[in-house]
Amino acid sequence: MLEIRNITKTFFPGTVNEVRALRGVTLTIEDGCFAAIIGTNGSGKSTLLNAVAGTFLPDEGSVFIDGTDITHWPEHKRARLVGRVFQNPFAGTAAEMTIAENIAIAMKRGKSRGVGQALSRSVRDEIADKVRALNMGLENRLDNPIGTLSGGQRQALTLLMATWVRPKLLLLDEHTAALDPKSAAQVAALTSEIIARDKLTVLMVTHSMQQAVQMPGRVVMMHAGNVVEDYAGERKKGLRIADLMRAFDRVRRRDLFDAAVANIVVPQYA
Amino acid sequence: MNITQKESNGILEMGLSGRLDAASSDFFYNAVAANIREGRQKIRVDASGLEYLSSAGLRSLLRSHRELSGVGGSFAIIRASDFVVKTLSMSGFDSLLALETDAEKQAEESPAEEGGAKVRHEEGIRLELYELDADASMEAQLCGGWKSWTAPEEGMTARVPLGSDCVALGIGAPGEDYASVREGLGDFLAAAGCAAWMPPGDSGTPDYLVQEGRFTPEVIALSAIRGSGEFSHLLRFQPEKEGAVLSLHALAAKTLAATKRTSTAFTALVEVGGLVGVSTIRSPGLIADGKAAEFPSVRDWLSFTGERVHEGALALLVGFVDASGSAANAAFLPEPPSTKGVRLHVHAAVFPFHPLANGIINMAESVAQLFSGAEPLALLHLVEDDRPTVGLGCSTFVRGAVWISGVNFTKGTNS
Repeated sequence: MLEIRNITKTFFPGTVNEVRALRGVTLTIEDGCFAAIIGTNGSGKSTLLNAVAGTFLPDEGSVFIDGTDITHWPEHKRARLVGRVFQNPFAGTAAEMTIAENIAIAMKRGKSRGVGQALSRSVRDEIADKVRALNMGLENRLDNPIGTLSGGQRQALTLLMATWVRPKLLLLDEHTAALDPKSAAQVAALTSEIIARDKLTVLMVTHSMQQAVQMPGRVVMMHAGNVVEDYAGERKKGLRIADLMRAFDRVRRRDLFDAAVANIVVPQYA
Repeated sequence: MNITQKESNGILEMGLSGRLDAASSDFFYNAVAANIREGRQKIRVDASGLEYLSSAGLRSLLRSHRELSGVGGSFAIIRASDFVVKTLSMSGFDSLLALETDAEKQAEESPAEEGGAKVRHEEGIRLELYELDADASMEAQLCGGWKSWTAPEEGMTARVPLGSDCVALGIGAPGEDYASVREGLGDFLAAAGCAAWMPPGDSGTPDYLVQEGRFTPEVIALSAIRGSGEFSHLLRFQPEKEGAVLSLHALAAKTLAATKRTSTAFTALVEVGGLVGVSTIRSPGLIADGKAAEFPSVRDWLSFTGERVHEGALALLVGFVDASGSAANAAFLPEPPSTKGVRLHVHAAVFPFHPLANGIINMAESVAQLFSGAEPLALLHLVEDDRPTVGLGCSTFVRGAVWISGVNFTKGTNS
């Protein structure tokens, strides 16, 4: 379904600020798989998501969705196949347009939008039905500018919009990280519900170990631009937060083990 | 809730004033636990200022009593007001009330017993050295013929029984034969019939075996030191100044000094200041060529703590020290960069902290108690990191008990 082949990306190459953000990442996400990416800051997890979304073109490697090579597709063209929810609740919706107007745009994702009336009576009813299902009381506020809503409400609507037309792939970039704990839990629950209902293929970046353990069917751990752990199937089922902590610890210790350390400890290991 | 403390004749009096209830019971219990950790194990609670005692408060008193009984200390409530006496007796816990019997008074009046220990004060640490049996000594077999970092062969292994009569450390694993353990070899230690070893791989937690009935733990080892015999001395130490710690190298030197020998064996239960060590993450049985010891491939075989770890935990140490200069022992006892001819091999199994009784305590009982409680958290082969500026140094310990004996090393036979 989603196939990432040997992607590399270096920012500011040849300068003192050079960052080798992705160092040859290969990852295949099967159809209907909900995968989470976890990793320390700077491990390349958001960069990988952006590479799939088309925010930039990779230096090397390619990205396939459903067997189609989209490596050189611009971001807006990929939006036909890919739904996205960002960390910032203010991204992903147009603040000054109403809830209904925002959703009307999302409803036509991947189709030609034309200049006809976007919001007919029946469309409004359809919108109200789905918004009511969020249980946030927003169905009565369809004509309010979306910018007047709270972060949690906006993330819930963004999620609804990103999945209104079933995307081939849904990308979630720490979409609950900027919310208060209660809203975060609400949006996380909504996310799981929508993904399970529509059997979506999902790549979610998260900082929350708890989310990584509870929500997805697969957990990929990144470090220094590489995939270092991949918990899938039975291995994922038995995964606990303590296991992830240990894996992080292992990776960090490996980093601290440099050539100077090797010179000292190897002779002392008898 | 306010707590005042004063200590006299080895008895600590904690004066409580205010309410001992759900809001303050943790505060009180933590204060008691801190005292126990610091070796103040005879505690009287002055309840004259207590205004209220709830069930949560009662529970914290009981917990304190239980904890202190566990380390051979004592706990009693004194100067209880009528309502405290009533509350305790109605709930059936009046045994916590001190009846100032003659025996207790006597105990209070006698100075803190030192049981013939030689007491010294060094760099903020109080050291008590007890002579257990001046004639005791250990025989230690150097088992297995493996040379570190080379490709092992079956003929190099040794079968090492780890019964209650020995202390041991090395690289091995329990199993039927070499073929069955080849992929699972890791660092191990054993004392008093309790063996812990670190299986390589993902889990990151040690496994352990305890001698029971006719079952005796046993490992197939590439390399091991197995000491049997009795301990001649017990060293107790604890800080007198905040932040004072005993380093592993100082501890090794003290074992040599205590026994006046050039080779020693020791087993210790210590509160950790910080451990610096390595552990096997891939079985050395899989080493195929000399490249395993080279950087960066060595990182696939060995994990380095990278920082001082497990502060505040309780560690069981098994160690052997050799300052004899014998070349035959060198393969089994590496030389840290800064110890000037003193070779040592020390493994540490890390457990959640629990307090130890003061004075002379029995090694076998203390170790058995440790293994019957919580499970080991980690197992490390201790090393010294002497990198300039960033080096972590060697492991340090805050307080504890070290059982020591002189030792004769002999070459063991391979299986």
